[in-house]
Amino acid sequence: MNWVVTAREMQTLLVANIGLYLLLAVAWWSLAVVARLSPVASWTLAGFNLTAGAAVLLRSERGLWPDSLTLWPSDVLLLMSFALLRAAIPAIARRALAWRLGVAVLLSGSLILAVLPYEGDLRWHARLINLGLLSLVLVAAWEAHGLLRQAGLRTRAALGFSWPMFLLALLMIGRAVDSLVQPGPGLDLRTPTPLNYVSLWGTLVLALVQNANFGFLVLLRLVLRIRELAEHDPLTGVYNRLAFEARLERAYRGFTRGRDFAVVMIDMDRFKKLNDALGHAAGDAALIRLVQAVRPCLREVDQLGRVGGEEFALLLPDTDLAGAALVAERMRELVVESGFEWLGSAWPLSASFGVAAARPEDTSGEAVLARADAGLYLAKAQGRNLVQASD
Amino acid sequence: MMAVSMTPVLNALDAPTLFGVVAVFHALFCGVWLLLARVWRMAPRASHAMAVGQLLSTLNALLLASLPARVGAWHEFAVQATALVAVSLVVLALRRATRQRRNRLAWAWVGGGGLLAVLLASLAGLDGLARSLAGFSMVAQAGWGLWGLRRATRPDEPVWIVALLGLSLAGFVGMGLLRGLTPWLDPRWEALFVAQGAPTSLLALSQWLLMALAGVGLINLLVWRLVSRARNLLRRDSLTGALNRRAFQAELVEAQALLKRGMGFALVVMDVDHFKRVNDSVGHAGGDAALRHCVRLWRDCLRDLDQLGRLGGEEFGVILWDADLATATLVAERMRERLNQTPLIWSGKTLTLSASFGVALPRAHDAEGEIGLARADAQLYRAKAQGRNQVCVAAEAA
Repeated sequence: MNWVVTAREMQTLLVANIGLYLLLAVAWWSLAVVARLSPVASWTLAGFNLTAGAAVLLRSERGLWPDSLTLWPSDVLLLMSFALLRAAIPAIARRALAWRLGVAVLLSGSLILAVLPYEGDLRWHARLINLGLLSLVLVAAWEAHGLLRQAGLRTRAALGFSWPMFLLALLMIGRAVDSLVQPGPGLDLRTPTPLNYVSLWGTLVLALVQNANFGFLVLLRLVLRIRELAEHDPLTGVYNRLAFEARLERAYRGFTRGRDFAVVMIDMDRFKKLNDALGHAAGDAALIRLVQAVRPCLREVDQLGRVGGEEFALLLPDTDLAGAALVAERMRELVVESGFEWLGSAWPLSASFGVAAARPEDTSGEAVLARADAGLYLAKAQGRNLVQASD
Repeated sequence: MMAVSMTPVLNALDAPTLFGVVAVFHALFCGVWLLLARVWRMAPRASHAMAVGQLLSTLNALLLASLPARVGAWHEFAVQATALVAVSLVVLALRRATRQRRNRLAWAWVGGGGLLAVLLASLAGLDGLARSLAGFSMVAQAGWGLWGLRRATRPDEPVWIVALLGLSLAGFVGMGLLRGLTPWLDPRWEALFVAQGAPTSLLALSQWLLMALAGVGLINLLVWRLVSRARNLLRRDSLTGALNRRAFQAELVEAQALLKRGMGFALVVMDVDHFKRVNDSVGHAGGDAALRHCVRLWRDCLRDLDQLGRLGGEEFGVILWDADLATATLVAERMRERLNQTPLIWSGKTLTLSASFGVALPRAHDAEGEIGLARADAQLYRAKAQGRNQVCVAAEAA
């Protein structure tokens, strides 16, 4: 091969790699401290970049700095950086840091490396380290993929976020194969060969892609959380009024194209009395109990929203008035049977229901809701704990 | 001076390789900003400006990497122009993100004028003058952004983010000054950035660092806004923007803990009178507007550190820090008067609203502040019973 790599170019690439890791560590640190973006994950990723940079720095100075600094410590730092990477993945989804596998690999790896002599052929060291890194990266990639699927992403989108880690794993496998095929001792990082040059460029680009990818993952988590918070009532977990109304209007648009829907209004009976007698905390618990009680009646497509203090509305797609009244009657029974207790004393719950189905003369989803509301008033007036359909 | 002493270290580096790394870095972040702008719709204008700025920086780095084999005046102009426009786009992005006044005309004049001057100078073969003009034009742009930064951010935004943005802009100003002055100084100074016709590692590193700093600052700002939005959604009532009950209770627990260490506070509880009637006469949307109206008026009567929370449908509570019973009564009276004298106009109807208020002081042995709140609540009931639209105050504990 005619391609000549100069020692100066190698030196520059090494400095660029180390500088980039440092810069990325500072960036994650600032996100953790200043913007307070998932602080645990951000701190861990700052640690990943910092230890990776330190490992490359020590490794590149082999033969120049004392061996006690550059041999064993550099390998341990490399293992540590990947252990941090693996630990950070669940932290991005606000779960506990996954430190067990990392600690196991780090401890066993550093013990074995401490026993192996750092002389002559270092290929066994390299294979061992690669094996440890590969296991960490594979587990991390697999878990990231799973978490993304859980967050509701399709396989393709989830792969779009997790491929850089699978790529990293592939690189590890490539290196391991290379160490088996290549005769002679492992090369120094500084040695100016085309292979070393290309692999340094590779780690540089991969570090960038990897970190950008983690940034996207953390942001994705934040955006999904904001969407959830903006659409749901924090107390009961059902849709808030704005989100419910949006779904109601969507159902109405479907109705104009021939798909029926019905609405049930639910209002807890004597809620004010409960609040005054037992306090607001009891009132909250009763609302949560009510939602729990009616949940078994809901199909996957039904949508429950909290539209007022103690008022809920249920949207039933592809349902007529009779069907909706049946569902409401079943819910009424379940609420009565719910057996609510507060601080040991029982307080019987009940609710009144108003039912309405969409009709051709309705001009909006809101009109159907208003008719259900009228039915609810009737139920209240007739003595509560009733279902009243408005036709 | 530091730069001069560091030159030997930097000379050990290969500038073209370094420019290659810088080009890769900028190209990747161009993609990142594009994704942020197009897919995530995060501050699309600022993100688009950043993306184009990063693209131009990529071009600039590639041009600089090939500068030793340069091909004349147009090449020189392209180098200066890409650097200049990249910086002005970054400044534009920072100005947008910090809500500085939009002034497209001034931006076009400063940028375009600088660009034209650089073009003329490089066509005339005056490389030194072209570099100098590009440097001073950079100073003008970045200085403008820096000047606007003084008042552009909101008081609740962390000072660190502003400092980071200011630092990167100040860096651009310093860099522009150096580049503007060096052609006229001792050749030793000129050699900092361009040695024997080739750009130096220092130039590559300083440009990289400044662009990266601006990017990190901007990302911090955008992310911080997202995070605080999530926090607000958790803590605030979505209708009125007052604290929701959970957050208010948490504040109350904290206040009660501080009370034991000598920090006094007072509690006011209020309830809008005849709210059901409001709802019936103007509908649910009108009722919502009435609640917003109340919160807006009441907040004007409170200090920034006082906490206003929505406790239930039309019931609100206030923690008044460092207030005794007389002060709290005064504040409650002011809130009552304010609401009663400012009618709500809703779809053509004029609604005069009123509210009843209960005021009480907490006691050191109250459990978790709930009992203090109950005491204020009892006064609220008394106010309701006595005919509404008034303030009732609990007798001070002996």
